[in-house]
Amino acid sequence: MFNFAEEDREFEIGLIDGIAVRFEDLDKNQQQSMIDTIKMYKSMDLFGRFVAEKFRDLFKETQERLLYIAERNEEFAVGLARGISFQYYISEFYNTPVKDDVLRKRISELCLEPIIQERILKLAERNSRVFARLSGWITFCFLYNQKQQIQELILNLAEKNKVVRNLAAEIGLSLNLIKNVKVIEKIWQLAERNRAFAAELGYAAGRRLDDYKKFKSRILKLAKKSRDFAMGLGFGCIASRNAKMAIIKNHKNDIWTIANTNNEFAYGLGIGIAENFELLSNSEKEDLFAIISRDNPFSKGIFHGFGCYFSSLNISDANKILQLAFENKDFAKSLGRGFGARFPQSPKGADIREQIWTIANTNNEFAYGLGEGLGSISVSSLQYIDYEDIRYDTWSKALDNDYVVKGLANSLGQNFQFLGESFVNEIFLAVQKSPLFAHIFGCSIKDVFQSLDEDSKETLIGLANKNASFRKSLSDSRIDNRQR
Amino acid sequence: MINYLVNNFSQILTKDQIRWFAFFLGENIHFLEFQSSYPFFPNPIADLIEKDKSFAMEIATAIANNLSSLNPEISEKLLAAAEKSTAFAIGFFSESEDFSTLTDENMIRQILQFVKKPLELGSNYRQKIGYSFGKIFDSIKNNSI
Repeated sequence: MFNFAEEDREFEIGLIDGIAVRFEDLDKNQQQSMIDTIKMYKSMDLFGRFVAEKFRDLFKETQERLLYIAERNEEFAVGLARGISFQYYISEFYNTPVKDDVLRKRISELCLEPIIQERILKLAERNSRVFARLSGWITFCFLYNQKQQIQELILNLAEKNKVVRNLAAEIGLSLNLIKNVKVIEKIWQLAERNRAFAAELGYAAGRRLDDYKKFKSRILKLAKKSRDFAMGLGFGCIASRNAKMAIIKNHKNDIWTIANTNNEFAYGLGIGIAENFELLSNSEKEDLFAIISRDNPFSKGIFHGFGCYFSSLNISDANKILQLAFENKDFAKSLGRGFGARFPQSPKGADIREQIWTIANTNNEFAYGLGEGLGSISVSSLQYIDYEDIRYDTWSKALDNDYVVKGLANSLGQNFQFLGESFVNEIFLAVQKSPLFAHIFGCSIKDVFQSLDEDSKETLIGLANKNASFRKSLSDSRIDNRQR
Repeated sequence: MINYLVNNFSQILTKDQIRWFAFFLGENIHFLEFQSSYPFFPNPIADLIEKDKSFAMEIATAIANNLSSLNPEISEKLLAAAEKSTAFAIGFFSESEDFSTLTDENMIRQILQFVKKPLELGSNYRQKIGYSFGKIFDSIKNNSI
C-alpha cells in the first residue's frame, strides 16, 4: 500500500488522511503500533501533519512518542508542527464575543502540559521551518500562557526567524492582553531588529490605535525608528476606520499630526486610502485627487496603493491614475512598486501581467518601482508566486528590462535576510544570467552584509567566489578579511 | 422480487424512485440472479448505468459499502464494470463512506491495480480512494499489502 502511495501523491495524501482520522479512535497501544508501522515509510511528514491536527486530544504517551520521532526526523517535525498549529489559529477569540470565564475555559482546554510544551519549543528552537509551521501554536502560547520565560523565549526565536507575520499580527492586535511591561518593551525592541515583524506589528497596532492610548508614545517612538513599522502603522490605522474621508478632510486630527511628521507613516496611510478608493463618492474622489496632485509621501503612498489594488478601480479612475503617474516620476515609481508588491499571481491574471510589462517597457520609473515591489517582502511579491511557470516567466521578463533589474536587485539585496532558501537559489541563477543584476545585487548586499546571519554570509561568499560581477561589487575589506 | 424489478423498473418506477431503486439494488446486489450471458449486470441495468451517471454512481456507492457480502467472482466483475463506466468507478471507489467491510486481500490488490490505470476519473479521485484505505489501514496493516 505504501509503495503504491509513494508513487502517487494524491493517493498518499488520501491514505494518510484516512489513517489519521481512524487514529484518534485507537487505544494507546494501537496508536503506538500504528506509529511504528508508518515510521518505516516516507510519508511521515504527512502523517505528522494530519495526526497532529488533533494533537492536544491525543494520549500523553502518544504525544510523547510523536515528539520523540520529531526530535529525530526533521521532515516529520515540520509536518507535526503544521498539524499542531492547526488547532490554535486563535482568531476565534477576536471574532467571537466570549465572556471571560468562557475564554478562560477554552484557553485551559487548549493548553498543553508544560513538559510537552517545552519539547515543542525546543523543536522550534532547533529548526526554523518548524518555528514557521508552529506559528499558530506559538502565538497562542505567547498571548495566553503569559509566562515571562516562555514569552521571552518566543521573542528570541522570532528575532532569528523570517516567518513571523502571524505572531506579529496577533501580538499587535492583542497588546492590551499582555500583562508584563518587560515583555511589552521586548516586543518594541524586537520590532527595531526584525523588519518583517515590525511591518506586521505596525499594521496590527494601527488597526487598534484607538485602544492603545497607553502605548501611544512608545508606538510613535518606534515609528520614528522603524520605517517598516511606521508604514504598517499608517496603513493599519486607516484599515480600522470606516469614515476614511473624515480623516482625509480633517487635517487637524491626530492621524494627520503623525503623518505630517513621519513620511513612512504618511506613505502607509496613502496605501490604506487607496485600498478603499472605490468606496468613495465622486466628489470625495475629486477632493482626494486635489490632495494627491502635490508630491509628498502621502501621495506616493496612494499611488503605491493604486498599484496594489489596481484591479479594483473602475476604468475611468484607472486611466486618470495612469495619466497622473506618467506625469510625475515619483508617482510612476510608486505605482510600479505597488504593482510589484501585489503582483497578479494566478493564471487568470495573465492579461494584467501583460499590461504591467507593457507599461514597464515604456516607463523607466515605473519599471524601477516594479522591480522594487517584486523584490519586497510583501506577501504577494516575486518570492511568493506559487505557480512556478508564472514565477519563472516573471523572472525572465524582469531580467529583460534593465530598470526592473535595478529595482529588483536592489530590493532583494536589502531584503535578503527575509528570503526563503529555494528563492535564494533563484536569485543566484539571476546573478549568473545578468551581470547588471549581479552588480546591483552585490552593491545592495554590501549595505546589509554585516547584519546577516553567519549562514547567509557563507552562502553569499560562496556566490562571490563563483561570479566575478557580484564579487567585484561586494569586494571590500569585510569579505577579504573573512576569506583570509 | 428483485429480478422482477430489474426487468420492469422502467414501467413501474418514476424518475425519482429510480434513484432510490439504485440504492436498493446496490445494497441487495447479492440477491440478484446472475447469468453467465450477462456482462455483469442484467441488460436493463447495464443500459441505465451507461445512460444515467447519477444512477451509476448511486448503485456503485451502495455496492461498495457492502463488498463483504459479495463473493470474489462478483467482485472481479465489478471492477470490469468500473472500467467501462467512469461514473460507476467514481461511485464504487471514492464516493462510498469507506471500505470498512473490505478485508479480502485479493480484492484490495485488484483495486490498487485499478487505481494505477490512467483513467479520466476527475480530481481527488485517487485521494478519496486513499482516504478509504487509510480508514481501514489498522485492520489490514498486518497482511502483506
